[in-house]
Amino acid sequence: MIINEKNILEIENLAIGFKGELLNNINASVMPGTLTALMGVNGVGKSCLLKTISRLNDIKNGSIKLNGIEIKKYSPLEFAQSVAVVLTEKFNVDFLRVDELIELGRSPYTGWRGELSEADKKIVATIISQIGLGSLKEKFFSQLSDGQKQKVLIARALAQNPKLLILDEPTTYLDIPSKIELIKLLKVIASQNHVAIVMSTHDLELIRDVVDAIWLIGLDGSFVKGSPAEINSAGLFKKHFHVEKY
Amino acid sequence: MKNILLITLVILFSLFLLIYGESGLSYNYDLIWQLRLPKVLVCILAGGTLAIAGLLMQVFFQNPLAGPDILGVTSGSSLFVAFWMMAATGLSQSSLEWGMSAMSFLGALFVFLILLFFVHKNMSKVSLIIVGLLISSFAGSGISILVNMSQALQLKNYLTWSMGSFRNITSLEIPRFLFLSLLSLVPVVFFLKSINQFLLSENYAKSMGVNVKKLKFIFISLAAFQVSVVTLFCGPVGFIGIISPHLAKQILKRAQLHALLPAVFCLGALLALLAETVLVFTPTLSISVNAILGLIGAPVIVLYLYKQRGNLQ
Repeated sequence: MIINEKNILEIENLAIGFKGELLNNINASVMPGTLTALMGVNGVGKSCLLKTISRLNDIKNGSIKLNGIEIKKYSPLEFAQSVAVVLTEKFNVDFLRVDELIELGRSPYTGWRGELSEADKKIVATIISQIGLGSLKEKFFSQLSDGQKQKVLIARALAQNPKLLILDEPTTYLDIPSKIELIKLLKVIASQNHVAIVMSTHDLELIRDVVDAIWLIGLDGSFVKGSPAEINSAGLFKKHFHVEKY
Repeated sequence: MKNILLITLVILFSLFLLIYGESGLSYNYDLIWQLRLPKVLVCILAGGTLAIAGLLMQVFFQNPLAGPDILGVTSGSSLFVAFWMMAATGLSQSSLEWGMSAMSFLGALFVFLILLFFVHKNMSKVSLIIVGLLISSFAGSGISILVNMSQALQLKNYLTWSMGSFRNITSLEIPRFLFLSLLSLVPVVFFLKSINQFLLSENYAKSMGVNVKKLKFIFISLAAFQVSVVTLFCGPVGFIGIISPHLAKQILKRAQLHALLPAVFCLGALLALLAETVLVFTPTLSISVNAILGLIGAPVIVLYLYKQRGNLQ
């Protein structure tokens, strides 16, 4: 594989899994400022791949490089300053305000007491206005709708000032208008903040005109990457999702 | 502001208990210094320590129903202490006491390890609570067998202790209690940032650079230490650990640990002082602290569950 100096993320001959190997021979790369969709039916290992990239799961074999350096060589703090995540797991914390939750994203940069500097506060304020959360920032997170919650979690992740943003099924529980809004927002974030975004999703029809690349994990454990048009013309959606045509 | 109000309440309650005791209103210098002040200090620190332990456990298990008594940590500690009281005969007083401290801590730690095992096996939150209750009843059976096997003097010591009380500490033991409980509390302050990060979930904490393994170790050892110190000196005391964090959250409407910590401590102290005040007014009835705390605590938990219905999976 030709290593492109500009790639933020490079995955080579990667094998992932929990106990045994779930998938192997994964090769892919991501450029800054691009939006990549990870697709595949439930249970093929999308979450596992995303968690492996974000160091929440261990690598079984092969390598993942961030900015040309093996991810396991990063210290926890260095890594948190480069990669941020939005996960599927739900949490139920009463009385946690939206702005407080977003400020948590600055914690890889703050001292032992977790107090935000003026610069930190400025970054958080910028993100809140970029995502359009100004009117919600003093509300409690637990009172928000699912769509609003996703936006807050994305804002929290952006507060880490990541070079790579990983989202596990961010659109799953949303209604159609919220899904469209969220995907547009991610596209804007990718280009404006120059962040590489990798998200898993099932919403093929919503993302195929928006994303720069699709990674497809097939039912047979194959891993294919390409532009939406390439994947479509190769008939892979039909093969792996049992759908006739997109 | 509300934190200051709570601190003021703790001080007012304490002052009241200093001048008003079972013998009624009195300003006798010796009485206040030798009897009432130690009792008040024990109430504040024991209540506050249990409350903080409850808070740590609720964050750690991501379970609003977690608490030292409900998850069986208090009973584990009691069982080990009971075993030591019955078994360690013929030892010198000091080795007896230190042995008891160690056993109390080991008992709490042992239960934590059992709970941790089930958490790692992805047991649901409600099932974990049931496991905690079963650990309590298991420990209870063990204790009753030990009681049956024991001799009269040990039995009396044990039964007094097992009632739970903030008064049984002798003035000789006070310094040791103060030292140990403060030692178990102070480290919490240094981990507030990591605990805040842990509020969302373990994985989010990890993604923000928290060394989760280290933090878990700290959570468990501090909470076990806190529960065991209070249990050792005051016997098993219920409900303070589970309800203080909820009351603090409802009063402050905050979730961050920096804001919650003082309020949780104060509420634990207040509950202990309140229970003690009831006892002071009913000297002839010889009610136990746990009876009063149960009357307050059980309805509070039921009310909380009612408000949260649908939210607890």
